[in-house]
Amino acid sequence: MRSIMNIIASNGLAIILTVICVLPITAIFAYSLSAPLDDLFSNLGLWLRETQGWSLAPIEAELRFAKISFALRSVVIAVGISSLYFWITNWLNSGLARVREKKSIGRQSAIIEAIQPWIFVGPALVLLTLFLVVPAFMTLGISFQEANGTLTTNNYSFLWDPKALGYVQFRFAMRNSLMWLILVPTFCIIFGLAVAVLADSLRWGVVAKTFIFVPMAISFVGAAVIWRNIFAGGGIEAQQVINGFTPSYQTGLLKSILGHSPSYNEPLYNLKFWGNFFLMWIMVWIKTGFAMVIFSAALRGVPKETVEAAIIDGANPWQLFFKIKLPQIYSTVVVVWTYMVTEVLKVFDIPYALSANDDDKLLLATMMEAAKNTWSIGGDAVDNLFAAIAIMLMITVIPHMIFNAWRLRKEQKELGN
Amino acid sequence: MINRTLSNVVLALIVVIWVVPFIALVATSLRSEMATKTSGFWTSFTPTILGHRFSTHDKTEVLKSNELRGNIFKRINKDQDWFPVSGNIESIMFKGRVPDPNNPDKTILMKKLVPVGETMEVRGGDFIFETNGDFVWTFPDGSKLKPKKLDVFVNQDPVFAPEAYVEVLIDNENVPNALISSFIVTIPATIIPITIAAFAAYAFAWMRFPGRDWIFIGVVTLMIVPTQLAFLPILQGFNGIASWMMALQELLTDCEATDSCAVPSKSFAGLWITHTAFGQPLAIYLLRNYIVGLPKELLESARIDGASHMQIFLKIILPLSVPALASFAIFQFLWIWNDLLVALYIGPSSSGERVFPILLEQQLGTFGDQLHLLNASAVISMVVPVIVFLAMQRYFIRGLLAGSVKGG
Amino acid sequence: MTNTRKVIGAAGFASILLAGSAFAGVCDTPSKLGDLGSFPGEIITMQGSMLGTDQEMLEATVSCFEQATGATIQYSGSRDFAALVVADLRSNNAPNIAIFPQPGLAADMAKEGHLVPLGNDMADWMTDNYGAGSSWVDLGTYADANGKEDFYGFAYKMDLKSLVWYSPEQFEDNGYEVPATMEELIELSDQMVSDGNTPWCIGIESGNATGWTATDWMEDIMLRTASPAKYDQWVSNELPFNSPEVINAMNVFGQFSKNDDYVAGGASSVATTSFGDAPKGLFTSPPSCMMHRQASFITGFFPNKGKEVEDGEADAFYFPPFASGNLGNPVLGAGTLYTMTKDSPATRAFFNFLKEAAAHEAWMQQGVFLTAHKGANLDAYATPLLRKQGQILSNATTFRFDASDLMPGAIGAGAFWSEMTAFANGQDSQTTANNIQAAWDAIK
Repeated sequence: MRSIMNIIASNGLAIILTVICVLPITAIFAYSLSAPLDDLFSNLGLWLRETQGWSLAPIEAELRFAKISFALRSVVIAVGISSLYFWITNWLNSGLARVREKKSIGRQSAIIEAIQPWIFVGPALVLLTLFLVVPAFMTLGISFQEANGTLTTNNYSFLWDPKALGYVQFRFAMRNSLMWLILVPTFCIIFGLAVAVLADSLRWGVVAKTFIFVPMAISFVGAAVIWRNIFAGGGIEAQQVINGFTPSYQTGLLKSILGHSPSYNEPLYNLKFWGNFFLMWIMVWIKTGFAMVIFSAALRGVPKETVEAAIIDGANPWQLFFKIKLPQIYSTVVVVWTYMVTEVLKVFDIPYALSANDDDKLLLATMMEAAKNTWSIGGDAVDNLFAAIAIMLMITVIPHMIFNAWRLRKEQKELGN
Repeated sequence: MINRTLSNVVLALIVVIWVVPFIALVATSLRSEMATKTSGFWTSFTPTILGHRFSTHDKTEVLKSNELRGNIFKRINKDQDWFPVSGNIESIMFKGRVPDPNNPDKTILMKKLVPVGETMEVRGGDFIFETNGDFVWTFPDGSKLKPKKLDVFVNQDPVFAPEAYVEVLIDNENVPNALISSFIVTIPATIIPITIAAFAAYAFAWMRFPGRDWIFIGVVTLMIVPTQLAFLPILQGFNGIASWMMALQELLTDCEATDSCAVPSKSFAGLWITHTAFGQPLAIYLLRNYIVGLPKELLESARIDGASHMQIFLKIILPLSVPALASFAIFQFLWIWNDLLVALYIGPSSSGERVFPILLEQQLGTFGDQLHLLNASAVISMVVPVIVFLAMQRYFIRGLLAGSVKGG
Repeated sequence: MTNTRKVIGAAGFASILLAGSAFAGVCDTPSKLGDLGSFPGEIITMQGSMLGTDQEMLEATVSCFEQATGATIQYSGSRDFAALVVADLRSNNAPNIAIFPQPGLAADMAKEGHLVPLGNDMADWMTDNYGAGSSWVDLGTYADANGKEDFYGFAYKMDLKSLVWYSPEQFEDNGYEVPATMEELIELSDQMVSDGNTPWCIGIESGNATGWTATDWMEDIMLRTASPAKYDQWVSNELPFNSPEVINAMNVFGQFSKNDDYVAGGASSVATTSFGDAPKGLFTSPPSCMMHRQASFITGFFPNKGKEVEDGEADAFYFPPFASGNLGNPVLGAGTLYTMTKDSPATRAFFNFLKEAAAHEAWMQQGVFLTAHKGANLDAYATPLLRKQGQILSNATTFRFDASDLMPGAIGAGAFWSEMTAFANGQDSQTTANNIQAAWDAIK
């Protein structure tokens, strides 16, 4: 009697090998065979250009439609390959089990049931391993190597050596990260709570909430453009007119309110040190909507009885909020706070778009980018430094990872699943 | 009741702070370039006093009598297609050199604002003008007058026009290309992850296998890992695949003859695969939590009826999971459409294939002093996600709440 | 579409690009294109620093090549070109053609082996067909990684820099006259101040390239306070940067830029005003300033994209020399160098295109474009002003290239720019000169 584990293992291996052989070849075939579709679409594009009278250059029309066609058939092929995968593995799974264990249906089912979950989670796990897990460890490795492969801790020297490349920048990044960490989640939570509480009690609250929420839909870069209008300044100042007015030529809203003259052209976010706060505000503006939604739902979840009892006892709105509601949504506040912390640690787009070369505004993510593209060390040594900074970034998020894992585990145990 | 007013005021204040930037964005995108450089957007909604230069007549015009009649607004708007000036004339600046009373050998420059109705001397003739812009210029017989350019101050009505949008969409291929590229990257990268994650989510929810709980925790925790950690090896990997594919192509086709062998290592396909991988943790988390919430009886009665997991998944669970799928889809769509980081490192960077965030980031530099174009471009980039977002708000919020709020 | 065409027509020559009609006009030149070969479907990638109107005119000009050969040219421009192209060349992501605004940077890239030699035939052609051809060939000749010198950079499109832009009507209204000497220019500036006007608009901001306008000022002044020989020594650092002649030139610039009464917005606005915004002050109502010293390309940045010149609203006069200097009529200029960074038959055909007079005339017709090509028909110059600039070029007794373009990248696109920005922000000339000299010493 062959042990059931052996059969499961060998069946599994067979399935994996089949998949590895069949799928890529099918994909290549599918792509080659469907390639003429691109030409078809190109011609469609040209024809549309003629009949609709577009002002596009012919080659642009061709290229665009070819790209669209490529995307379309990629989606179809991807879904096709995915379905093929599940169909083949399923068929092989039950087929092989039946062939190798002809006698006992019970054992057949056991074999099938043992392999099947791995079929379901296999692709996802493989993707994650290939694209996140393995690369993470490879980056760790790269960070401990020189460009020619010798092991070293030199890439981390920006941590302790004042003369190392990146030393000054790292200190800036740490200082700024600390400021961002303290201020951004705090203000998101404050504003989020404020709007959640106020909006729920007012008739136009739903409209208000939508306005606060919309920034979540736009990109960080878009937000940077939006706030540039408010924070930037300058303008062409006309000479003072005789016995008349001097028109206000300041083009930045905040600078105009603060009374800055238009000839001082520096955007507010370029100020040394204080500029950071303006960048932080942009993130608060975007992420408050998230906090607001979570708190809104959480507040609605507070048991009505506790609220009513407090009102009967004569609590005023402030006491109601701080002593009754807030404590009961405390865990939600913690969740929002930890989420914001991770976001802040990873933030890249805002400082990159508005202050790319300014050391004073560096954060770890932009420091990485600067190491790769701006500090001309030349050649491949850049990658090792990049990797080292990436590892530092990873280290800063590890506490959140542990907390999250712990929280999930707790949930799992509670639900006894 | 004081409380109610206070609440209204505070909320209104917060909403104003949140909304004003959007107003600034749209207003600036509808103004002319000079307007954005010489005044702030908040002045563009009410009549403001602004200065313009106009010339009294064209060089080619031959003056017949000794009187020229015209309209200042017509002269200012002669070449202005998009932003016609209208309003009330306030004054015209008169400049001339007069002898210095203190210093008989020298002259000083006299500048005076001549109001409506008063006569001023222009090239030896009399110039008088009215609030509506009509002017009369009388000059002595026989003078052949060159056109005179004058600085006029107008209490100008607000004017908005979509010139920036035309310039950015039609005169330049960058924005249309970026729009198309963003769609090309986002839609497949939203659809494909679902085909993989849905199965995994089902397995984590309703199938038993060793290590399931810990693997699930691992997968979800990966959501927190900064994606930058993986860029270098991923890039190296794609470089390798690209050279391998190039070699294959050289072997199988005659591309060397036409020099079309190059296979780019930073491509749309790279982005699709990468986003599919990066999107798994969130997808699996959302879908699995949802599936776990479905009634277990469904599973049990179907199993009793002899259905296999595959059949249960395809025929029962997947159709029921549409709300969760929608939640993930909108999250993923917004995330990818707005993503700058991954696109920058792994996506194509050529001018025809950049996605919108990359284009916008570059325009912050190149259009830095053409605010109307920058803002128009930003608006165009936001139209799609905002519409999608508003239409699917419910699913988005549901997704946000999944797992963040304890209990009900 | 008709409304758009009307707008485009109204907005002036060469400001907007459309497939079809606009192209046809540009490629209709007095000289005809020779046979360049046929490359249907081939794509040539180009990188440069030209943006805005310059980019549109470039794309219109190369469309003549596209139409003649069937190839497609993809141009991508960026203010951060210097950093981007270096990164791309070093990471094997080279475009076919890189357009360097600075010979120094091109020389650096040649030394790293990233440029493809254009060949001795090309160099010989240029010596014969360009005015002062051998200096143009020298400009494009660099040493490769082994020290062997080859011709890499094809100069196409020049800029005349010794120009001061002004509004003739403003001068007339205020009773000013165009100065013929530097002493008169300074006197005029003082007169403007006492009249209550502001004489100068100066803006040197330009993203990563902030400060280059200040270097232009200083180089123009250097040509007017020191001999051409000294200028050449200054470029090669035989004459140290902190020697008295150089510091003197810097101080003369400071006379203009650090004087709050002289500059619109005050001295502190110089470093934060973008170079593209600065000239707009000539045209506001009332005007912010009366004069703006800048190279010929700046008309593309005027509010009406250069139509002011046609209308007589704007004109330029020659930035005058010191009467007491006895240094003749020196002229400062610069040019873009087209280099081959990735070889292909279509790319070689493009360089043959650049040799054609038609390629020069196509751009001449659109607007601001100056060339030393002896075969280009002068009637093709778009405006009398351009013809005038051509004459300034020919009346010059000394012609020198922009020094910061000739210096190595670390200085000419680095320390010189950043230190002059610091100078404009208040740093004194001795410190500035010392810092730049220190940068020179570091790379020797």
